[in-house]
Amino acid sequence: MLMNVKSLPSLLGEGKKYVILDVLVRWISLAAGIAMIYAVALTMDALYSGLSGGILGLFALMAASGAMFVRYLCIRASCRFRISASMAVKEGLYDRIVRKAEALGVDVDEIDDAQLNEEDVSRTAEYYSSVLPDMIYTALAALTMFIIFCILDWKTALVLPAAAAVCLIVIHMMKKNGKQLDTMLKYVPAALYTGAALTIVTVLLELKGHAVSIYGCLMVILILAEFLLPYGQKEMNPGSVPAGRMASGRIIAFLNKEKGKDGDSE
Amino acid sequence: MKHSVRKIMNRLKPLHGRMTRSFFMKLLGYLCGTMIPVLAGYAILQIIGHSKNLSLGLLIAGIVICALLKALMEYEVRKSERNIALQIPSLLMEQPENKEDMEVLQDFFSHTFSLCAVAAVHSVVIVILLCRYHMLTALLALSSYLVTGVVLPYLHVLRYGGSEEETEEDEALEEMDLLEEREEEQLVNSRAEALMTLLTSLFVIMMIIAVILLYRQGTMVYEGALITVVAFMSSFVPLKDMNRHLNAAADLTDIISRLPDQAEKESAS
Repeated sequence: MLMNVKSLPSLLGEGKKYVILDVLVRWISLAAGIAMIYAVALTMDALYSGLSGGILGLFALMAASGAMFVRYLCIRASCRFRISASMAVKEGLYDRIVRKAEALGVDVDEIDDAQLNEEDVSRTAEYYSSVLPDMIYTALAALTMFIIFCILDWKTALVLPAAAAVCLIVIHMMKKNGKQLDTMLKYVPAALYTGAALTIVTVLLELKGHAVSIYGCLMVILILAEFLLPYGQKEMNPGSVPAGRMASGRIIAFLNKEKGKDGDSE
Repeated sequence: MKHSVRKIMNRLKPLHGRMTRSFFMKLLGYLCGTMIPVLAGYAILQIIGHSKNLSLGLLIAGIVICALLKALMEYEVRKSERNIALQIPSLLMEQPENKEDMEVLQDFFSHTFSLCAVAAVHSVVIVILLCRYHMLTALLALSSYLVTGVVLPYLHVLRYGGSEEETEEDEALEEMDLLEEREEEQLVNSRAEALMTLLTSLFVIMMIIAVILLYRQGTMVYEGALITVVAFMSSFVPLKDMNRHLNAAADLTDIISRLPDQAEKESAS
């Protein structure tokens, strides 16, 4: 079934606002987390330089306390926005499907399961309220980390994108050789963690070469430890992406259907 | 209660070997994850001349090995847990009536159960590491692990597992008619996650204050200060993951109490 990709955002309707807000608060939470790490790294650098009793330490701890509450509020808000997005997408879709069914002159309950089934709406809602914001946030977080690493040390910043590129090439080659998704996923964490390890090694060598300060080096290490190294522990559900896309494709096909025609429209 | 976790564990005896292997692999994976920043901390100390115990080359090799081991362990654990979960239904004589209950049992006995044990052992290892530098920071770490690993999950299970008392927030949630069970579960989870983040950040700040004071008093050297902060900040991963899976534990008591008794089944037949 061909899917009109341009129609996808239209399925979001009111949910678009919540998806944007969800990504935004998660990014603020990430920024607050990085601010906290900055405060910790600065304190440790100040300790090394003998400024432990200075205003710097106090400022760092105040920044860390502020960041702590911002992160708390952002996590709570993110979940609310995700639920609101899911509800808005579901309501909007039901409404549009009912209206379309009326226009086609068919009863909603009588729609053939092959064209549209009950789970399509919830799968689409899950895709737009959870999977899509996750994907946008992951890209945004990677970009943020890249910019921060660039500010700290550009050589260190290049390691992770290089590792990600190698990972993509390996997956593409394996896909070409007909390997299973399960086998490919085996190699994703290995690239991920090796990339993180190589980034740490690079920043250590840069510290040795006096190209980066202690706080810069500590920031890179702590950011990776907080945001990248635990990443793989979270369950990945590779099936939810194609299932969500397939469900939205079926809904779009149904909504684009013309009276008297049974085939799918593009 | 006719059934208990111990009874079910007895039924799963054929899987004990695999479950133990999965536990050790998971523990190794988490320890490797924590050791990457800790080894990096030692490398910083080596570079700035505060520690001469290990060579930089050795520490760098350690970081890369830990990363590879972590990736390998994560994949193996996932595979092993999937196999354990698949075999659980055939070994349980008292099958729950619906599919969702069975999924909760599978999730708990294949994953959450070992995760709790891993979080406990991992925390003990970090406390022992911190003991090397100062008893006070080790005690602070221990109390933080007890709060985030015992008190917080207990309160979560108590509330999520059918507490009759309702907070203002819960009442407000009930008013939202369209909230489905899964969405409510998401809210409960996010509340626990937010609280966990708040508490871990609070303990990190307390640890930094303790480290600054001990360093200024001269009872802690810079090596101790740096390693304590880095190890402590990186040590909450298994506890965070455990808290994320607590719904399985919260549902478990309810499911076990609803399991049909085998003796009753036999007498009925």
